[in-house]
Amino acid sequence: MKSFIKFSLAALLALCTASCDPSFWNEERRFSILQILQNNQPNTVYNKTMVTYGGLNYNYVYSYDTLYMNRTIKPGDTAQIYLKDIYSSRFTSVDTVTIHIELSDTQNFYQKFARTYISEKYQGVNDFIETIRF
Amino acid sequence: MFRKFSFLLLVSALSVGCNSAFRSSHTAIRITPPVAEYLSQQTVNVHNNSSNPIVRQVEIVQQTPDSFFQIQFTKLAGHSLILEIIDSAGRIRNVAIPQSQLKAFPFLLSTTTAPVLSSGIIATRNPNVRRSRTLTGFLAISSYAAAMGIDAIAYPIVKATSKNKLYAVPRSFVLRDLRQVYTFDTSNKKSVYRVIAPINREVTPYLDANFQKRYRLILGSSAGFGLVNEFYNSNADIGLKQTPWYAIEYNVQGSPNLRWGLHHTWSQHKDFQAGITSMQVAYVHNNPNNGRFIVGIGAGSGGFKRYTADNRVDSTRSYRNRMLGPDSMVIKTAAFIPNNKYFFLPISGFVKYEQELFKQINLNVGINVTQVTSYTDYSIQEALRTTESIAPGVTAARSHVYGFPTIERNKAKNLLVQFNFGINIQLNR
Repeated sequence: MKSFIKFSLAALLALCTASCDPSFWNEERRFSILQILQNNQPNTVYNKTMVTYGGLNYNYVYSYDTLYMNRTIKPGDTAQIYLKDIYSSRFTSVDTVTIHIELSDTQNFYQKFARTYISEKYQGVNDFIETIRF
Repeated sequence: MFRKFSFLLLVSALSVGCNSAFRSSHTAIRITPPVAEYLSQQTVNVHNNSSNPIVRQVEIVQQTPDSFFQIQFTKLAGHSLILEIIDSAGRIRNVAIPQSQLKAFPFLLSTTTAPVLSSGIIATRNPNVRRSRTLTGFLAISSYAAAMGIDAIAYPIVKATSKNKLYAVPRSFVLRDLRQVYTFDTSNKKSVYRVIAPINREVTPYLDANFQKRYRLILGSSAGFGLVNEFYNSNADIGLKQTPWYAIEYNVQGSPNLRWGLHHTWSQHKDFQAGITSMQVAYVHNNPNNGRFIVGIGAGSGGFKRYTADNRVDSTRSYRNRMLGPDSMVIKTAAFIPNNKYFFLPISGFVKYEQELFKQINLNVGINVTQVTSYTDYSIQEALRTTESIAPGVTAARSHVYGFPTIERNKAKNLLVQFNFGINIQLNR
């Protein structure tokens, strides 16, 4: 009888401890952007990208940040611009990211445009994948 | 309704029918009309033939269906009792009455009701939610532990308070004639009271020559093909497939017409694996040609695991109750989640015919109908897909994946009809 009570108490303790495991709750919000630039031009394309986004910094002051990237994309190739886990950057509460793209080659091809990505705050995940063909 | 009724019937049959606490407190001996007439004119008692005998009053009751009478008294423990008949002259006739010790299993909560209830609790388990897995496991173990605790208290109490109920006079023992029973003269105190125990002349596998209970162990295996009737409404293929099923079983038969035991059946397919373990009780109708017609029901615990299923993609032009433009659509991707283990509470019924092939070896054919629940889990992810021309010669195809994936649990009830063919071995104990 004593062994049975001991076994029951040990099982109860183990189950209570297991049920308090915090890993059950650690689903985090996510905001990421993957932009794929696909070159269908006959010539090599040069890409200039400027990414701007804003949010609250660690002093709770709204600030902007700007990233610059340059790519060389051969005919038929792709290039990727990947902004991973924007919520985990140096800003919090980022809701809008704008990417200004400038494409040109040594011949006559030249395009300049902006793409905007807005995260929906009530959604836990906002993952954008965009393929831009030119 | 039928499912609930079957469940209650089975639980009652398993937990109450074989428990000494619920057994009759009276036993009876069948007697012929002349013996009844004689006994009605004498003083009749029953005692347990010990140094401090416990004496019971005897009552004569008329039994109408077969014109026999019976004497009835409150049960007494012991393999043999003495029927003491005292005539008007004070002379005594002592008749040995054989008693059988009743043997039956199961008779505890932890071996009958608790496994079925624990199965019911664990059937609510959602394998996708860790807290559900933990909670159902905890509740199932707790309820089983509680049943064991109740048994640990109840069993000694029932054993102590109902020890007389464990014994009964076999129905095949009949007092037909008292003329051959020697009469003792009580005035001669030196005479030795010697009572000859009766011998059972109709020995059966369930009652030996000394009127003691015997039982049969029946070990069987069978295989068959399961036809499936599915009850679900879904665009996913979530039911069971028609597959071979295999079974092994263990039964105990302590009387000509009742059999109970454990039955395990399983099916292994490349898409899924299912197994059902049931406690079962059955009525046995014996034919003169060593054949038996058996009808029974069972309940227990079933497990189901799906290995493979098709993924699927659905699309719609409606997004939050608004119609999207021609360049947009919502894509709903359903990715199958493999190897989730589910439990369910199966109810089954069976009919089979058993024919003795050789001594102690039987062939059987039958139909087993079981309710099997199958599950298919999908991880659902929605995305808004748009295509647009953003500059001359430049197009953008955007996919916005929003929200955490959700789990879609598809549950299908299948009525599995198994046509079985098998063999079993019976051992007399």
